[in-house]
Amino acid sequence: MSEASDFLNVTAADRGADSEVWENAHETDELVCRGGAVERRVSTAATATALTVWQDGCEGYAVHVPGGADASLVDTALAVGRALGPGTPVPARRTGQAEQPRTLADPRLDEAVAQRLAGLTAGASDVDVELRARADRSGVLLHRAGCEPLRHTTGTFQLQARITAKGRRVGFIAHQMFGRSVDAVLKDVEATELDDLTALARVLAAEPVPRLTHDDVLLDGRVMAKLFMLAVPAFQLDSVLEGRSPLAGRTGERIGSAGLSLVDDPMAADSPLPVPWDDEGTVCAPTTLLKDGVLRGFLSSRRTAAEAGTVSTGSGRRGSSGEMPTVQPGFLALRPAAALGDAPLDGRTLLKVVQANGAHTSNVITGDFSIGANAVLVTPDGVQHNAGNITLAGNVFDLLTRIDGHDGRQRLNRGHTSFVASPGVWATGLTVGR
Amino acid sequence: MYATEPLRAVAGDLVSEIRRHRPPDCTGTSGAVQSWHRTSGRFAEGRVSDISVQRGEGTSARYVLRDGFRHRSVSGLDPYAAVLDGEGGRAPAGARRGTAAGGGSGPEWMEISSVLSVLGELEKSARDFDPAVAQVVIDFELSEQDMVLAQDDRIREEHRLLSYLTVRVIARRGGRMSTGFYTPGISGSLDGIDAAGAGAEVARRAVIGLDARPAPMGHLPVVVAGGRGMVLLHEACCHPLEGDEVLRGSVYAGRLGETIASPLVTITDDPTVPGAVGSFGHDDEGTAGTPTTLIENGVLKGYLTDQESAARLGLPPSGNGRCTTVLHPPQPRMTNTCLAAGTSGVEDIVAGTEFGIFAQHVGGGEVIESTGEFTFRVTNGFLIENGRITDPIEETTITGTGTQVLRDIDAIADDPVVGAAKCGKFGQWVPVGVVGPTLRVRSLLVGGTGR
Repeated sequence: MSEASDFLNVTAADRGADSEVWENAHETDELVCRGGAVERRVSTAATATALTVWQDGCEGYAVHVPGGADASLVDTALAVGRALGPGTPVPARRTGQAEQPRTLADPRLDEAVAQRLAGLTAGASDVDVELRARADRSGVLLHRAGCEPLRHTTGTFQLQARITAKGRRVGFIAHQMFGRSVDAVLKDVEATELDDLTALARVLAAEPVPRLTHDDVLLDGRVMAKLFMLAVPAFQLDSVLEGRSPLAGRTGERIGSAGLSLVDDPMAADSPLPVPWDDEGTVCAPTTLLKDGVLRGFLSSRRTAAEAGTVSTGSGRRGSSGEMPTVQPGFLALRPAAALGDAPLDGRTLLKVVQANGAHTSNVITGDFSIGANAVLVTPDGVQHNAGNITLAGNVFDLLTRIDGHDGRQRLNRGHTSFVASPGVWATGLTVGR
Repeated sequence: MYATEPLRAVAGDLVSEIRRHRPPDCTGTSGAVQSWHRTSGRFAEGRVSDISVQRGEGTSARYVLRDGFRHRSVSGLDPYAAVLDGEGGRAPAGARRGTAAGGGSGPEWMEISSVLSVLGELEKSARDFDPAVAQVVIDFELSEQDMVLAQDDRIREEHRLLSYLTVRVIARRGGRMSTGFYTPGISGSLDGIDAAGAGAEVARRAVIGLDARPAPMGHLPVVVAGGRGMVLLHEACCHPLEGDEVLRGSVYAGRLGETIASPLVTITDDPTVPGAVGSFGHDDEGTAGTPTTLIENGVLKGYLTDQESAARLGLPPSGNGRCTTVLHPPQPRMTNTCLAAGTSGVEDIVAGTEFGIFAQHVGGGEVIESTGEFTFRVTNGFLIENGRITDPIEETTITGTGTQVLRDIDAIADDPVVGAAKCGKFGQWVPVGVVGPTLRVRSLLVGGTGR
């Protein structure tokens, strides 16, 4: 890959520009299994080259798929920079030796995995199990002119289970699991997840309780991770600089429940897509955004950090086709302090919200949400009943201050190369409708 | 466009390779060679905060089998995309870079300075609307693409343009904040969007929201305005009519010929609507794009199929195989969802509603195809009290089940509007048109925080 990056950097220099080349060789395997068989197999191999150029105070950017040593990419990027006009400083060159290339994850869907997945979908007659598996692998090169290129290879495995149970009604639950290792995720599925999801789908297929009353609310981790996505932009420095973050100017204030922490760490042991540096070459390290409920900082990219007079947190991430880096988390984990489990408290009835529908349509600026959801009611004797299709409304920033504890079961939500994780949370102050 | 000849040449080779590598149990094939220019990014606070000018090429092949499919795609122009792993005696395609189509300059209409001029005009119009407008954020996507599509041995050519804006305005007054949301889009160049009009409209939505009161919570009649409001039908009705979901046993599986909706309801999926963002000449497998009647006077008439789901359902393909780019496999998708106009006047529909919600502008939604449970977001709504539209309400979500909603549509107006939206399915996003008039649903669950 370095031949092309050398060519592009030299070509840019010939035109009087500083430059940086990002190259990605990406492979994806996908399988869809249902009814004991492999229905669909998809494989994609794509390369892309993105070029950033700096000339006369202007920054330009262009991407080509499949990329390669193509001088027209330099000319396009320079033309974009001229059209946008001056105002973007040239970022400093990295100093020091580049690390040796590393392979951090290499998930693959071979025939043995396909048969293993297919076998898991041959379930009971009242249940339809669909498993959608996807393995992504990326070889990334980042080559700033005048510096040694950085290289790493990484990947992630994603498994979506879609379970439909037919009882008096139809019950459905969808759940996504992620990890670096195909085998580790499949072991979880085989050991507990599939049985738990099937049992849950069967509860949702029962007639809903005639009247919905409850004492406590537990938002499952897959619901909370989706809702928390609404708050993520507020923790990004671009939102702060552009005046859209309600958290701007509140560093040092308590904005979450006591004991609540929020840390972005793409290299954490449980990060499903480990990356040693972001798409701008900044080393990824843990970034604490909340500690004991107190706001400690914001995620930033190279450009936003420079604008704010600080240093990047290593959160500049490109889009799926190599789009210009924007501020995004890598593996952002919400961690409440108190472990309360997932069973009702003594003598109380628990409403467990197990599935969110339409969370992505809520308001990412105000944090107001109002979603459709599926829920189960757990009575003090531990029996689960279908609570039916409900609505759940509130504000995600208020929610952060009203988390009493967690259920210890972390769930993830994905946005291209960004992951947000949360356990199930016990929360108050939500409006439940049915 | 710039590279039709290279695309044609590769498509010819691709057809040969597909023929040669066709698996024994294959019932049909499709292949695609595509080149595109795409400019996307964000314009906020009078400047571009990020922008990507992208040129791309891709090649794909799909083999439809009796019980599924195999799909392979690679970047670049490479007919060996047809070679499945372990076949052909050479490294699989994608192990090296495919050939680029050549030619770096994009279409004239996507030239950056003219794009910035349009976006600046939109922002100015929004800011001029009211001093309460504090921010204008525009996400823009402009693209032009050429495709050569092979379905078995037949070759078709396709040329598409898209201009799609997602505009958010933040209005502030005193301690209150409100947002306006609007997604103008066309299958054409950017100058086809009325930038000044769009800016004023989205600002109006934000400013009105400053006076909003909490939305009620409970089962209420809901009057949904036309255009983007048809997201209601897109979610409630049409996703479960997509062939792959029908094969999975969606709520409408096996029900062709049944009355599933109010007799007022006639819905077509129509990729021929001029200018609508879901329009095309051929779908991404080379099937001609023609209108498909889904529901006629309340009776279920058809499904939305790609080549694979059509074969497995024993139906002809409806021309709904769509993908984000050929680097992704086609799936059965909607194009432009069209509700036929009724005969009622909007005023009469409102006047006939004692207490309910008027959903004037709608955001996105989601559906569970196997149960029909759906949600859609009302970004600008009003109360209807005693037959009159009264106070604005805060954003809310409305939910229900598709089967019930279709039966509960009790009035359709005569004011059809064309709207634009984007639809995501298994990680692939495509533009979809939403076309139709104002309608009323007798009862839906409104998920507000008020009583």
